[in-house]
Amino acid sequence: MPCGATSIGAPALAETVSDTGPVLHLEEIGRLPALTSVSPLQFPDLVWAELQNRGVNSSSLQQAGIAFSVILVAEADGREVVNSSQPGSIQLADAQVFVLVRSSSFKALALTDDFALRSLLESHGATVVGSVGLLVRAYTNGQSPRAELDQSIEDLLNESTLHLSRAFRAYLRRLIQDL
Amino acid sequence: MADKTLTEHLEFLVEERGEDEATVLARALQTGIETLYREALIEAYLLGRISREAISRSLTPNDLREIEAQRDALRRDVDWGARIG
Repeated sequence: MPCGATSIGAPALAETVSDTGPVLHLEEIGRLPALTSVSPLQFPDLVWAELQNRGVNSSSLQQAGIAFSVILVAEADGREVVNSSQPGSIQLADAQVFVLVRSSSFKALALTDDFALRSLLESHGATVVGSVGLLVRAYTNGQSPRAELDQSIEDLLNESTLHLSRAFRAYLRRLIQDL
Repeated sequence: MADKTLTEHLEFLVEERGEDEATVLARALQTGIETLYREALIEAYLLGRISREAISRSLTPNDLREIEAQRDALRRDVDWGARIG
């Protein structure tokens, strides 16, 4: 269980727990508003520290209309998840995401672009979404027109720090084209 | 700039490995072709241009499972986004 909460800009009622990746990648391509459909967000403290280190701060989220809170996760809880996973597969910040989603009985929506964390969460029945899903949802909800979705996907592949191999880029373009 | 880096890396390999330049270049070509081939094979499989049976002749079962798991995760992501929320 999280051992405490520090609220920054939103009550701690979030049903969405976010890892670093989706927020960082959407910020890198100027598409933070794609997160509004799953706001308010909960960030474990290490994830929030990573985001701040990479230039994502309270004001950038607030300007995009995203409410969020930062939850302090006991280090022992995170370490337990790291130690029980395949060595090197889950980092401590990722483990904190797992701890928070677990504390919701895996009912909270989890945001991550990390495949190992996604697999771990999904093996417990959690719903996991990444940057791509959020961009597609913004299009589906009418927040982004089609041309913006196409451009956002290209920006995600070419301008963000999200890594996808050439093969998976081609596959993703096919999925988007078929929408 | 990239050419300069490549030249520097080649010089480093020649010195570090104690091999002549032609040997290092031949090995680099082989490694490069293998990497590109693998990537092209995966792309062809993901896009449905070759069968699972065909790709399974070139990849280990574990590698193929990993690729399929990542493919399915990406598809689930798009499917989630495509649902009205």
